[in-house]
Amino acid sequence: MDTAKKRKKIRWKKALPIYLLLLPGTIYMLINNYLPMFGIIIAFKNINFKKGIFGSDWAGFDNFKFLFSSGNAWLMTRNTILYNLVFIILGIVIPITVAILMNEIRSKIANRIYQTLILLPFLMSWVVISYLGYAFLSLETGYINDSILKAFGKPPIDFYQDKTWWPLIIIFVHQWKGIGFGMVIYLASVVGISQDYFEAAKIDGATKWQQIKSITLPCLKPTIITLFILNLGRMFYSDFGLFYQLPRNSGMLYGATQTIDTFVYNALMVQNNYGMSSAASVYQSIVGFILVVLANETIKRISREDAMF
Amino acid sequence: MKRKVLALIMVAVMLMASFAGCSNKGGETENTGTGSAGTDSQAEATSAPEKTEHLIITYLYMAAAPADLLKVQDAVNAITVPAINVEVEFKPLGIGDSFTNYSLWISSGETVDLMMLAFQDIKNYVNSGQIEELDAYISEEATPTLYSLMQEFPIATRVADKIYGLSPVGVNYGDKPGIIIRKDYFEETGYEVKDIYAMDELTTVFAAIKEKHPECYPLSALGSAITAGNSQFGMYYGGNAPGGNINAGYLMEADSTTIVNLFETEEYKNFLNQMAQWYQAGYIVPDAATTDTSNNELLQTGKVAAYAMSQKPEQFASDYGFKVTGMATGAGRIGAFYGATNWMVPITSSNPAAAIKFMDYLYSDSNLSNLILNGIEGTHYKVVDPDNNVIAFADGLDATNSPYYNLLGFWGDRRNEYTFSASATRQQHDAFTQECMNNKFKSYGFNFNSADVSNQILACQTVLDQYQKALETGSLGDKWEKTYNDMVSQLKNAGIDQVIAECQRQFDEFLAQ
Repeated sequence: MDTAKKRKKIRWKKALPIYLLLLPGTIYMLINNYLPMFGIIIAFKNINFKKGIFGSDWAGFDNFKFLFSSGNAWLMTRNTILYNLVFIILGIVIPITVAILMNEIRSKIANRIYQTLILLPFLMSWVVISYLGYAFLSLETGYINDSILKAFGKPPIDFYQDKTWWPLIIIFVHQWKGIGFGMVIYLASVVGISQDYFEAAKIDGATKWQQIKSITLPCLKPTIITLFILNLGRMFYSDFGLFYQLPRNSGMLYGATQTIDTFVYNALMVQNNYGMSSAASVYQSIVGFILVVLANETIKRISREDAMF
Repeated sequence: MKRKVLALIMVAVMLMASFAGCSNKGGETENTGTGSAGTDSQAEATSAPEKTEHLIITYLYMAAAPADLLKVQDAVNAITVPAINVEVEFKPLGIGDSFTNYSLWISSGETVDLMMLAFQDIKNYVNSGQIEELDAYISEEATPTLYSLMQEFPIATRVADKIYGLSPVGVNYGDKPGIIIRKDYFEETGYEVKDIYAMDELTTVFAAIKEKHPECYPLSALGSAITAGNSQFGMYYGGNAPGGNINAGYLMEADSTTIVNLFETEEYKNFLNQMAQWYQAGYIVPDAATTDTSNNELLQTGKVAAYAMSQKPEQFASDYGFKVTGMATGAGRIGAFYGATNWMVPITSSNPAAAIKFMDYLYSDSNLSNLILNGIEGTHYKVVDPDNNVIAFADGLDATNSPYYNLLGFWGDRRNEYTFSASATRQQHDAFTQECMNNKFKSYGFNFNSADVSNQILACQTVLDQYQKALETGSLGDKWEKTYNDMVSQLKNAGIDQVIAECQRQFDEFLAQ
């Protein structure tokens, strides 16, 4: 009993500095992520600054109505979810492929150059990309209409008024911009795999493909699952720049480009309406939360040790 | 372990308490504004029996705050302290930042006494209780000058019959629908100069310009200028939206008392058809719906020859290397008027009464308003033509190096203000105001309170965001009709009828008074 107490004390002493290190981060989390949560009640209030947040009248679910009253709720929810599904799947397949390929490049200089080139779009602002896109797609002076289609004698396509091509354009641009970052994350894991496995496999006569299938991918599994769950939690959010800047907020494309975020921005920017804005983000958080928990449960069923909590 | 949890909870509670504290404190913060710049005038004022009131007033600028702002502030205080015992401190702010900052300031309790709300809807501030009702303060502080100005011009901005904002008196009121067009191109066509042109006549002129200058698009109908609150339709046909936004209905004629759904009228359909035809004929810039070049840039580079612009006397003075002229498509008129610029008193003001006292004085003393707008005479500008209020930069200064040059005029009675270029004389302005005031819509003076239908308005607005630009720029060519039908039916689903019914109900009440 006495020794147990003593041991506990020693453990405390050892652990204390580490907890102290944790303290600033915890306080930051509390202030930044947990404290503002009381603001959720704004979504249910008819906010009036004279009365203050707590004194304002309750509005029930009135603030949520506008999300559904425009008749676009289904469209934007569908867009948000479908695009995110495609992004999550491609976001696993393509960066891993690139990371594995990159790992095979032996020349150090070539490796650096390729990595930098692939990562470059990730560092660009969406506004810049929006204009790059415009340079390609503009009806009058765009590269595709003015140089390519003209050369083949095809009629020009009014990209900004015709939504046919936009699912493709959006997915392409998203991948082009995001590959570099995804690749860096997976590359770090791929590099971290012990060379011993590969050497043993080589001695046993495994081909490159067999090595990838049986060594690299299984070793990447925890990384893939963690990123998958994190992405799933953001399923109800969309990259604002991608969906707002790139299509230049052209109304005729909304069928293919409108997501919850762009809808909320368009609707509330001009109105400064606190209640409705928080209603929208409450809706997103709750659905996002449910998705994370569900995904985690599913993974727990399949392989227990890979679940996050 | 227990102690740690306890400690964490304590920290959390303390933080909560301190945060909850701030939101209450803000409103009553003792006014500790430094006002260091106003020291000379403070010294003078110490002899005054009453305590000098200190006001913090927003000062909007386009690019950067003028270097001599503090000098001008001192000069302002040299006038206001002896006259009304009010000391002014300017709070400089970029006009772009004003769109987002005001609401943040008010919600965080920052003391500001007068805010210039430029190009924002004051109703948002009213409905969330961020600004003060001004009626009581006005009846307490206002002098006869302000009362007579309020009688003559729509400078008091009301929401639900209460005054919430005071606008500067404009150089003129009302406008004429029509287009602004390059004078040289117009004269080349040899078309007859008329007071009012029909739409067909515009087509003839555009065709003639296109023939002479094939590389030029006669008209720029830019999507960036089309908002849910503002239809291109009105630019050509006149009419008035009594609720401010077109999605709250439209009055087609000056004497009509029935608010109609603009989007279902024959006139609107004809207008869309006209735009589509012009677009197909190559009279409109192909990228009109999405480009973010401005009308002026397009005009200056010679890419377009004209754009829709409701016309006022001062608009034909600009020199682009060529002159411009106007082709009006309707008579001058004035309808329900929503001042685009309003001075408002936030609830965080420490002294609303003094703020109104200052506003009142600003209307009556043109020396003061000119001082704030143009700086100190002799130092920053000199008067060139005193009869027409024309000034020039002081010696050695120009627009690029003047330490006080700000074109944003929000101060007092703008009819008396000095300008750098005499675009139109005071007589011309007054005559124009007179002409428009003679053609008043029944909605003149009406204020729509949209609080009860804000969900529907928002829903309508998202529908308009989607379709309006493509339709009103004609960018869809001959396929416009299907999109138009979609828009009309979606507006119905979004509840435009309820909005219009509510607007009509309030309008009937207004007419009955």
